[in-house]
Amino acid sequence: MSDKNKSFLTGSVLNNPVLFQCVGICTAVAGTSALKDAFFISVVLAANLIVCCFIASAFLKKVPRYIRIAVYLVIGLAGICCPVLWFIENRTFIELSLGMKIILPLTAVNSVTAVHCETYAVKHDVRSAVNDALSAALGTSAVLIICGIIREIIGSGSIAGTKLSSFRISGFAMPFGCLILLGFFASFLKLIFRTPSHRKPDTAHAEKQPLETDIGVETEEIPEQVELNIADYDDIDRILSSTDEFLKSLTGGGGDSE
Amino acid sequence: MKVISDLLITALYTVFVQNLVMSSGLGMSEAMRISPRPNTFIKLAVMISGFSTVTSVLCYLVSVHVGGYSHAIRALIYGGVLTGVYFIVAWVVNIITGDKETMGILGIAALNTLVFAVPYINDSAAYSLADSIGSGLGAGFAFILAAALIGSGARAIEKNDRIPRVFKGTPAMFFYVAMISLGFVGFTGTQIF
Repeated sequence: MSDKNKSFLTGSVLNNPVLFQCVGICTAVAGTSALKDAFFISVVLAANLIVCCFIASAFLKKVPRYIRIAVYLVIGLAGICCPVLWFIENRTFIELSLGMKIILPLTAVNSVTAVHCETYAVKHDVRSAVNDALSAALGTSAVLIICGIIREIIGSGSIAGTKLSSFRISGFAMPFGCLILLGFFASFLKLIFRTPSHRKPDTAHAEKQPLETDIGVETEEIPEQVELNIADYDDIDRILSSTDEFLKSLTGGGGDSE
Repeated sequence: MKVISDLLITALYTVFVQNLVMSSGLGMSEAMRISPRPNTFIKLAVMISGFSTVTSVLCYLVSVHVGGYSHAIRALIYGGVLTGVYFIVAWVVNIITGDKETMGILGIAALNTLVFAVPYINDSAAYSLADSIGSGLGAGFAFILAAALIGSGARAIEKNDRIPRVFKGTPAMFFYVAMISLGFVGFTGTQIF
């Protein structure tokens, strides 16, 4: 597998923004109670992320960080979310629920965009930034759409509005249903990508590894890469160290401007 | 007196019944990522409370004049208000302290789904000015409550060696937050089955 594919796989699966970086959870929880909602949210989120990462990498490297953060909101809201919402409301026959009309604009302030723009895009060239955005968008969208499918089937007994069965657990369309699913997805990925040799974790090895939220590919074999990432996110402290990195990037510890 | 009671009732309702973080997932990423870091958490919580209250009040005043507009236009207006408030506060803080850490946290506190959603909730619930202040304050306190619960759970999960390895870390966190979220559903009286 080429380095490009490895980093793409890492960004979308092993460092999945929702499942392992704990970003974009609001979007997942609030916007995936049905497949149609999840699809719209995914498209808007992906467009927002890719455009913001491109602009951050191409034009915003010299702009102070506290201004950049607001620029992402303006781009997302004025350039993507509101035009899409306006188009759907006025130029199509698609009926959006009231909740979706509120949640769609909220996508402009989703943390996936802020984290990826600030920890990666502003420190790399445009091509790498767009690649990173694409992989993160793919990973996030996949989680959202799968959540949408499962939650609609269990919560409403239907799929894309088509009735499947009368059995349903309406509570599953609530936030806790999505959080339970996210927990199972995350553990499922950890289970799949742990080869037998990884079942006895080398904690000393894990301790030495730096946290690579910017998709550092240091080894040739995918399993090694997998273990590195799984080990990185294996306890709460390590999850939160990605927050430290994000905060550091915002507060001047790792950036290049201001 | 009625204004104060309206404010307090809405604030209490927003914190305990309609806890926006737990019952809608708004600001949950921030709560999960920041909560176990006490120093950052306190600063962030105070800032979120301030931003949500100020934005809530300003958007209420603006929404009196934009009630008839479509959701897309309203989103632009609320986003404009939020961005304006953020820029003014950031400019003042930058002049007064210039502290980069505070500036960084300021961005996270102002530009998140929780603060941005409060004007919509006020709008859809047809809140008065007093209710809007209560809603803004309540959203901040709801974040503090949610983040405190998540933070204490995160520490307990980390110390627990009996959790299977595949569930350690984020999966266990998700399950834990799901259980708290389910608890808050109980306050609303919504049927699960």
